[in-house]
Amino acid sequence: MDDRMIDRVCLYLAGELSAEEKRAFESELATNARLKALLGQMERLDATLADLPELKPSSAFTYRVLEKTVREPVGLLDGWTWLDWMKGLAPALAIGLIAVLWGKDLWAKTQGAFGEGAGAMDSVLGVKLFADQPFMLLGLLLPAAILAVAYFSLTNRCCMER
Amino acid sequence: MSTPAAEERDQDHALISRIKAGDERAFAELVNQYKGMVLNLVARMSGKVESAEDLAQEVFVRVWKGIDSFRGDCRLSTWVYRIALNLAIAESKSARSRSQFLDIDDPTVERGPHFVNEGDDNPYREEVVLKEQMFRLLPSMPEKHRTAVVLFYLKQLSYNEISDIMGVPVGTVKSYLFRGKAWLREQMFGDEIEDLE
Repeated sequence: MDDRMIDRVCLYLAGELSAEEKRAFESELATNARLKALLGQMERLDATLADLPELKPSSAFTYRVLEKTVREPVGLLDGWTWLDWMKGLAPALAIGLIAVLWGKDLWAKTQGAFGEGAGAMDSVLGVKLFADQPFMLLGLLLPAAILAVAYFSLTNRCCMER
Repeated sequence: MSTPAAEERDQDHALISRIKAGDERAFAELVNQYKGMVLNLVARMSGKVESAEDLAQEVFVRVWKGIDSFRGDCRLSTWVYRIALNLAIAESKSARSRSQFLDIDDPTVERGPHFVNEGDDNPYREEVVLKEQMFRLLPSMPEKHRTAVVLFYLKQLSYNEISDIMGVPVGTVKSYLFRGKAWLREQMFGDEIEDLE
């Protein structure tokens, strides 16, 4: 199929032939079966192209774009100032201090109540479970301290993002 | 009294200024305004329907990153569509180079949308098959022809708008469009009318 013929059909369909060219084209259509068939194919092509189904963006599209741009997530500790660090560390230090200061006193109280039991357990397991009492208490309080750091860090971060 | 083109330019300018000033809502407005067109543009240009949404999101990430370099010497839509086209063309090129190493029976290889199933008694089946065939053919069309065809039929953009986006004269746009349609006709109907007199 030659390009000139296709161009004429395209121009005719786009309404871009002059009045004289249009008349000549239409009179040729009556006698040229190939041109007529070509016109039919191109009309069908036009209609199909114009009617191709369109995709619809998901409802979360804009939100996801904003997440990647204006609210681009940063690393948890990226951009922290000394003040941010202090806000996170202060509660942890406070809990640690309480553990150390109260540890001894608490141990003295638990000795009385569980002293014998502790001794029995020690002999069963062959280890001195409660021998290093301040570390035992720190062992219980350390996870609490870590949780406190995480909690205050995250809440501090969220506030900053807002 | 201002023309619609001048009004659009003013609106673009106001939106861009707000975005540059860090107004999150202004950027959301831009995304909402162009997401439909961008999504369909990248889907048709790359032929990757399933990953089109990710690609379209990447377009807006690039818009965001490049917003300071937008000088306003073209319409905002023209600039956004250019970014979308560049990304979609790069994606289709890399997909094509990857496909040289892909197994044809690999079920993970994306083959375009399926609008119709075997044995479907849809009365418009032939029309639907034609659309499916066209969707699959588009990504293989020569790049410039494909760009003109996709832009012209997606939102009925004018020759002038397409000329701005592609950076070529209007006459060249028409030539790309006609050659693209001729290529599609050849692929879809072959030589079934060659014997006619």
